[in-house]
Amino acid sequence: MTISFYNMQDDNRVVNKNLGNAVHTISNAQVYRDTSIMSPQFLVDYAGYVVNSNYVHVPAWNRYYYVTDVTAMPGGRAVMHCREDVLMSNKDAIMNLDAYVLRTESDTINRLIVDSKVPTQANRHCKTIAYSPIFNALDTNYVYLLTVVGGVQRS
Amino acid sequence: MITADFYPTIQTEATDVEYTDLIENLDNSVDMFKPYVMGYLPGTYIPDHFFVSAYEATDAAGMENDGVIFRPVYNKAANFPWFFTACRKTSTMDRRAGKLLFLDGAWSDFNNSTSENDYQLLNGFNISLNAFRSFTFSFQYGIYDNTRNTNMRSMTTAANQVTVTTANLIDFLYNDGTVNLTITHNGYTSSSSVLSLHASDFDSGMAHFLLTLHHVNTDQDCEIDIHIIIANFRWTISRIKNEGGSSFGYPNESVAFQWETTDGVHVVSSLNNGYSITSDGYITIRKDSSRIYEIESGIYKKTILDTVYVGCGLDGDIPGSFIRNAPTYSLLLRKNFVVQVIGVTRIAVVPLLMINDLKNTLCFIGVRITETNPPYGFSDDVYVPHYKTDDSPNFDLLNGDLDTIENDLRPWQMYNINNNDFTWDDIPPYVPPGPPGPPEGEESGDRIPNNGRYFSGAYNFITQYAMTRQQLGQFGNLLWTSWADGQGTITDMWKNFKMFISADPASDTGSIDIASVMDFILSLQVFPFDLSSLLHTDSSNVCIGTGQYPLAVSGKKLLTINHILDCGTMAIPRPYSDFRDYENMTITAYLPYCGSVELNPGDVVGRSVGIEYSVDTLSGSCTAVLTVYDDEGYLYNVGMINGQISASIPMTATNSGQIRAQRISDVASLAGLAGNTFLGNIAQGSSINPSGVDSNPIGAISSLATGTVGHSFNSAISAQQMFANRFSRGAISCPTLAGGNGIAAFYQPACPYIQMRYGLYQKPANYDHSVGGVSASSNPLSSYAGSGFTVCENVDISGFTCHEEERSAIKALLESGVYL
Repeated sequence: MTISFYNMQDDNRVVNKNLGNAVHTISNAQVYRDTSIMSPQFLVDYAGYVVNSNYVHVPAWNRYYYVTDVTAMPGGRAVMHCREDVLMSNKDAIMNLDAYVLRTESDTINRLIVDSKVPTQANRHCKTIAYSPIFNALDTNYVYLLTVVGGVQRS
Repeated sequence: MITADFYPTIQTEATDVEYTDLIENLDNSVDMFKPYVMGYLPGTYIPDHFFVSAYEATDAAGMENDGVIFRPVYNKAANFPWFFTACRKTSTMDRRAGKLLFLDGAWSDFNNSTSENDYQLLNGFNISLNAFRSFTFSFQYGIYDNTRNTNMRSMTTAANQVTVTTANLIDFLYNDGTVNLTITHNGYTSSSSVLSLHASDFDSGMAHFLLTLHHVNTDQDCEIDIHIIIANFRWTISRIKNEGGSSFGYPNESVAFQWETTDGVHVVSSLNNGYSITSDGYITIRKDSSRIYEIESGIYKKTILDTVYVGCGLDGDIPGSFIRNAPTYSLLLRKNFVVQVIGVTRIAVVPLLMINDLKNTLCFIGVRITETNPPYGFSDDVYVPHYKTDDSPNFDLLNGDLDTIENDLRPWQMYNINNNDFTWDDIPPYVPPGPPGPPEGEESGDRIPNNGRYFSGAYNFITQYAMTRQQLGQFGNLLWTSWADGQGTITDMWKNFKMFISADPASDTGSIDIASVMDFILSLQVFPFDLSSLLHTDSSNVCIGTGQYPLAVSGKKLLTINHILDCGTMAIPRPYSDFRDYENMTITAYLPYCGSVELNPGDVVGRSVGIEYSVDTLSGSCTAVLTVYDDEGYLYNVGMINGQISASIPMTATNSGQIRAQRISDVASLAGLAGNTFLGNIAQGSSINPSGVDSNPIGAISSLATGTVGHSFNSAISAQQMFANRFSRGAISCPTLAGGNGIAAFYQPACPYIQMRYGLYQKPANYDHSVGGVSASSNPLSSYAGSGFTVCENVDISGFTCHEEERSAIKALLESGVYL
C-alpha cells in the first residue's frame, strides 16, 4: 500500500489543507491487524520520516489521515496510529456543498445582525448629545405673559 | 511595460477611439485595499469607497496659487466609483508648471522622504505592473469660463476609452515626466501648465495613483480641468503632501483635513485628529490634519440648493464642481453623516461628501458659505452644481443665484449603484420643494402635516401681553402700590380701591360699574424662553375687558396662542457601525419641562433627530415632538411627550377675591367709623364722585358719614359681602396663581439632550477569525474558499458517499466551524 508522508501545519479544521510536498512516499505499508478505515494502523519500516511526519495520504483509500501516534516495533518496524481527516478527504464534496453559513470570516458578514457571542462588559458607555439651548431666557426678556379677558382696545 | 499615448479633444462627440489596453496582461483580481482609517467619524459608516475634493490656495494674491487639488470622480462603468486625486500647481509666469509624478513605492516612503529622488518618475504611463493589480482608464475634461461663470463644455469618456480626433484641439503630450498642455479654445491658445498628482494607498504596501491635471489660464479667463483617471478597483485615500513653496518642489507638509469647531461654538464632542462636532451642529474642517474617509459607492443627488447650504454633486462632471468666492466654509451637520471641506481660496472646488451606511436612506450634507468680502475680487455669486432634471445620467452644473436657491434643505439622496438592478432611471426626476406628499398609492393623512399649526382665534376673546421684568413691576405697582404693605397713604388706598371696583382704574374720571381688574385677569405666567419672536413688534398698553380703558402699563401682544419652538436637529451617531448600534442600546431624550422619552434605537441611530416644542401660551402646556426623516424623505414622529413649560406667578397671597373683600372691609371700616354707608351706595349701584373723594378722601368719607346717603351700616356690611361674593368670582378665573410647576422648574437644563447608553464590547482583532461574524448567507462553500473561519447551520450532507461515521464527523465539524 502506498502512503505519502507530510508535515502538515494547518489547523485541523482547515478543509483544504496546504500539505506542500510529500516528505516521503512508501509503497510497502501494510495494514496492521484489524483496523478501522477511520482510525487505521499501518505497519511500516521504521524511519525518521515515520516518526516526524504528522500526516499521511493513502491514495488507495482516497483518504487523508492525521498521525496520532507511532509505535516502534522490534525488527525495524513501526506502527502508525492514524485518524482520518474527514475534511481533507472529502474536500471537494464539502466545497460543493450549498450550505447555510451562519458565521464566517468572509466579507459576507452582515454586521447588522445581532451577534450574541461578542463579549459584553457589564458597564455601559454614556454619551450625551445636547441641542442648542433655548430655555435660557432672562427675565429682562419678554418672558412674562399676562392673559386677560377681552382687551381689544377700542379706537 | 504598458504604454498609452492619447490625444483627447474637447469635441463632445467622440468620433474615434484609440487607446492602449492598459489592462492587458494584468491580473484582474481585485485588490481589496484596506482603508487607512486614521480616525473614526461618529455617526458614519466607513464603507468601501471614499472621496473628497478640495482646493487649497495658499498664495495671498490668489492668482498664482500653489496648492493641492483633490477631486472626486465617479466612473460607474469602470466599477471604481470614487477615487482621490491631488494636484500640485506651481506659480510661475506661465501660471503653471510641474511634473507628472507617479509614485512607485509605498506610501510610507513617500511620506517620510524629503528628497525628490526618492520618488520615481515613471515614464508617462509606463506603469509598472506592481502598481496596479487591476484598473481602468478614462478621461474627462471640462472648460470653465471664469468670467462668465459658466461651465463651457465638458466631456467624459467611457471607461477604458480615450477620445481622439484629428483636430487635436487639446494637445496633451507627455515629455519625460512632464506634461505639457496646449489648449485651443474659442480662438485662443494657451500652452503651459501641468500638474502632478499623486495619491497612494499604503496599507497594501503598493503604490496606486492617478493623475489629475488642473489648468487655469488666467490670461484667457478660461479654466480647464482635465482629469485623467487611473485607478485601481478600490481607491482609498492617502495623505497628500502640500508643496511647500511657490517654486516647484515636492510637498513637504501634510495636507489633509482637520475638523475644528467654529469660533464661539461650544464643543460637545471631540475625537481624535481634530474632528469636532459642535453643539449647533457645525463642523469645520481645516487643513493640516490627517483623516481618511470613505464613501460608499452610490449616486448622490441633491436636487435643490440654497444660499447657505450648498454642495456639489458627486459626479463625473468635475468642471462643474466650482463654487466661487466662498472664502470660508464650515460644515453643517445634517442627516446621517458628513464630511467636508475646506478652506480659503479664490476658486473653491466644493467638495462634498456623503456617507451613508444604509441603502437608500437619506443623507444630508451641506456647506455653509460665509460670504465675506471677496478677497480676490470675484463676484458675490455662488455657483453650485446640482442634478440635471432631464434624467440624464450626466450631472451638470446649473448656475443658480442667491435668489433661486434659498431654503434648500433637502437631503442628499443616495442610490445604491452596487445593486445589480440599478439603472439610471432609478433616480427620480427633480421634485420641487414643498411639503412631501404621501407616497404613490397611499392616501394623504398617513403622514404628519406640517402646516396649519397656528391658531389665533382665541384672541377674539382674550389678549395676551408679554412683559419684561420691568413692565411686570409696573403692573404690580399699578395693582397694589404701597397699599398692601400698610405704608400707603389714604390716596394710594383709594386708588387701589378704585382699581378694584372700577372699570376705569387708570382714570380718575371713570364711573363705577362694579367691575374689577382682577376679574379680567386669567393668568400671569413666566416662560423659560424669550417670547419676543412671537410678539407684535410694537408695545401697547394693557387693556382689559372691553378695552376702553388702557392701563398705564405696556406690554407686547402675542400673535398666536400656540407656537413652535424649534430646538434644531442633532445627529445620533453610530458608535460601532454594526448591530451594536442598536442592540443593548438605550436612547433617552430628555426634554425640559416635559420629562424623558425612550427612543427606539432602530428609529434614530444613524439619523438626525429634530426636536420641536409646541407651546400653548394660554395654559402653559407644551408638547415636545421628536422627529426623523424616514427612508422616503418624510418626517415622522419617533417620540412625543406633554409637559408644562410655564410657571404661574402668584398675584396674591390668597385668592384675589378674598383680598378684594378685605379691601372692601377696610374701606367699610373707615366708613363705619364715620357712620357712612358708602358701601351701601355702591351696593345699590349708585354713583359717587371719585374725583372729589380722591382729592380729599377724608372729607369725602366724612361727608358720607354725615348721612348724606342715608344708608345703614348694616347695609354697608351686606354690600361688602355682596362684593366679596362678586370678587370671589375672580377666584375662579384668576386662581391663586401660586400653583403650577413653579419657577424652580427653570433650573432644569436649558436645552434638550439625548443620552445614548450603549454596551461596551471586547471584540478582539481576531474575533472574526476565531469566532466568525454572523453571515446568515447561503452559497456553495466554494464561494467562501479562502475566506477563513466558517460555521454552517444544520448542514444537509446529502450526496456524500462516505461512510456514516465520516458523514457525521463532517456534519459536526461544519457545524462547529471549519476554515475554508
